[in-house]
Amino acid sequence: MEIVVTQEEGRVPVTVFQLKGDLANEEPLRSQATEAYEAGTRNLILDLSDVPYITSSGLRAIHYLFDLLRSDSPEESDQAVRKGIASGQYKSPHLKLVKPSKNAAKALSISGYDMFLEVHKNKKEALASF
Amino acid sequence: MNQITRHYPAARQEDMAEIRSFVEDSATELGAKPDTVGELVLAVNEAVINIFIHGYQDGPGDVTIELARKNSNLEVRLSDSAPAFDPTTVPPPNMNPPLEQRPAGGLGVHMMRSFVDELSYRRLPDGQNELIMVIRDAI
Repeated sequence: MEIVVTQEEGRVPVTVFQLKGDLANEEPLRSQATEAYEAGTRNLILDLSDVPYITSSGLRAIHYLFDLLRSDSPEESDQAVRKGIASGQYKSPHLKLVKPSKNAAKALSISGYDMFLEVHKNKKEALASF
Repeated sequence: MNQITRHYPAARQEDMAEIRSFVEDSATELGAKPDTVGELVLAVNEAVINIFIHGYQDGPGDVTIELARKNSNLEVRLSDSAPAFDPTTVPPPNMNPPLEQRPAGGLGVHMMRSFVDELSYRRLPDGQNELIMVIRDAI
């Protein structure tokens, strides 16, 4: 899988990972995310428009990104997030997904990840949501 | 054609992209509906990954994948020579724990169960594992 990294400037700085190929391994997405986080990234768009399939390993990588990006947000404590998800009010303010394929969307839905991650039709819409 | 089989004598996790392509192409060739093809690819992917991780402990091993059209159903048989592992006995994950306790792993079998209508396992007399997946009205 290839990851193309770009920077966008909306209301806040946003890093965009455009993935190309099946998201079927935790690497290289974990490493790329860690590197970006250490370089200051706190808001990230995962562009899935060129990802035919997401496997359980790929889901683990997305879960890692989600945890990483909320790790220094005191307002997103485990308790607050838990309460927000239970009430249907919480979606990650730091990680947004763009245009998953039908098969990728099925994996996200089956795993319940679409309960706490916003899914947008395109990058522009995702950028505006931050 | 009603059946397509491929044998991988020394497959590894690195071969998963090729395996996904084989399942996608074969299911399409057998006449499966596009939605079904995608779900089958995901289910088989998780099953074969389990064979590599739990069966072959990340080493190489033999895997045979057979897809067959049976009336309007599509059946996939996976066989391997790894030690016995029955994924159908893995308890379903709790999908509603607090987020921080939600297992990031354990989703593979859940995905398999979600995408196929029947999932059965047996240990064959020759010592092979056989996992059978059936998707009804797939054609």
